[in-house]
Amino acid sequence: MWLCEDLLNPILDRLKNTLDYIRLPKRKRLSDCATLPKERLSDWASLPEDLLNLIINRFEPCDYNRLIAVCKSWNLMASRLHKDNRIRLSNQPPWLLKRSCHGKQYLFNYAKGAPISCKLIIPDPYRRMLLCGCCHGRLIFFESPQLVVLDPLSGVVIKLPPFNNRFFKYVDKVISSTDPCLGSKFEVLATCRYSDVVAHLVFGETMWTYSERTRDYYTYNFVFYKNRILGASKEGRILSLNVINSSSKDSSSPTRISLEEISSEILSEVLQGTPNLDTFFVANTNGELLMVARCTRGKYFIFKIIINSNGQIDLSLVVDLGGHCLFLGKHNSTSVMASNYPGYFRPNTIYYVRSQGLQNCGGFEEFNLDYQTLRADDRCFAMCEGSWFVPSLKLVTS
Amino acid sequence: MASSTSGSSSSSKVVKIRSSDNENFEVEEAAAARSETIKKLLEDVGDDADVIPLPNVDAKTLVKVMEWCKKHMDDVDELNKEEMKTWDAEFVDMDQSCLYNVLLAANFLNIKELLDQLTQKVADMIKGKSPEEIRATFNIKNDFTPEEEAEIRKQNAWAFE
Repeated sequence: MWLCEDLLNPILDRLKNTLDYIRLPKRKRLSDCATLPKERLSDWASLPEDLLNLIINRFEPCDYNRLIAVCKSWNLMASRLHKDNRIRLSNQPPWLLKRSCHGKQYLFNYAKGAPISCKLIIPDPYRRMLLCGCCHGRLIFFESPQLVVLDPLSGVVIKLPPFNNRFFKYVDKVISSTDPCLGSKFEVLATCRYSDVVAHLVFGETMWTYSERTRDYYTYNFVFYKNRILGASKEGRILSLNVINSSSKDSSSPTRISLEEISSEILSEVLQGTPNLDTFFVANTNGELLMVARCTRGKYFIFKIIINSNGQIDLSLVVDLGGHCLFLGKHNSTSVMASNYPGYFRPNTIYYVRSQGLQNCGGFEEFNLDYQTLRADDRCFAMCEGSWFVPSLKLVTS
Repeated sequence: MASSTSGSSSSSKVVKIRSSDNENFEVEEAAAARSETIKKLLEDVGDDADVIPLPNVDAKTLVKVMEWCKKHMDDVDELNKEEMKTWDAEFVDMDQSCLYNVLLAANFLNIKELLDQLTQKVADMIKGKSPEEIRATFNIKNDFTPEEEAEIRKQNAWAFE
């Protein structure tokens, strides 16, 4: 048989069956065609856009992010192809993360009273979980024994080192100092549900640092502010959390957390006798830190926290927000100047959203400080995740 | 001729196709028609077609594509599904240069199922790889300046962990 004798090329080896029916012109031999010099050189960089799109559609978003770093033409094509899924971020008011009656999370533009047409990429196991963090535009979930940071606009997931502390089987709330997805150094602080133990992690470390269990058992709501970590408890106490690094020379003293209560006359005076406070930290657009204590429906106290040049912390009562409006939520609180959103937000107004939790439904309050007026809406927000979401997506452009 | 042994296909119609490097092939029509492009051309020219030129596909690639078409010519029954899967997996397992040409050919010839298999293969080759590994796999030159690359990495730092 003329067919078989020249089958040297291993690539064509498996073609034996095929050659039954592909009858080459008799004067040509298969070996000639296998070594044809005219074969096109592969040039993956200039792959047609429609083909690259077919490939991208088979990806996890994480792979997509690697793809854009391969070469310029792929970067350009991939960025163009995926622009539609990404959003213009200029001057966005805070959005609210809500859950539909089917349990699907979506973003809601409170100012316009309408959902935002932006696809959230929340992989399946996280979809059904309660949030334990929402900061810098990322969502944080607890997938025992570790925390998972998700960018819901790209689907990129970061897994943090696992906890190895018995109290952290039930994580309550997680905050990070900066956006973990930026890759620069960041700190994470986690509190658990049934203890006052706090866990702290610095980017790059593999082990969490845990605080000692205290005897007075106050649980705190924490905030990163100007290289400090401050906490406020349901009893109206404020403390400063310090992470004391182990010196590299002395390995016998590991990193530890110290908690230092800040005594404040004004705080104890105002909040005395109101034990079950909801406390929130929020920085206004001037960079000032406010601590808001919600006593009951429509009763709020606002304190400004001032860090003196010597590191001392002072508090003063605030009655006028100076045109700001505050958005308060368990995981994330934020503030904008109402004048930037005329017709949408009122100045000197608190917009409070209560998270749907294990025991409680979500809820909503709009409280105006000038007129002391309250508008509540629990029905529409019953399924709310209660997180004000300020996206921080970096568009990739080349 | 060996083809006479392959049963049912002996009676089927044969069409002639020509590769970009002027190789002529005779292929069973049922196999060639897996390509929407060829099918359309056949419909357009009718029976009096001499040779169908395929100016975008070289001979080596065309042999490969037609090998797939031949295998997928008939509907697969349940029994052969597993076997077919294995065959398909082996088929797409080719070197990147060959894969590139077959991918472009499948696109030009408009063979959807083959295109699906090939794009999946490429996606699988990219999955979980770092940009450096992707470049090495596909022989792609890194044309970013170090500054540009640093910026992209910074913006998407976690994709590179």
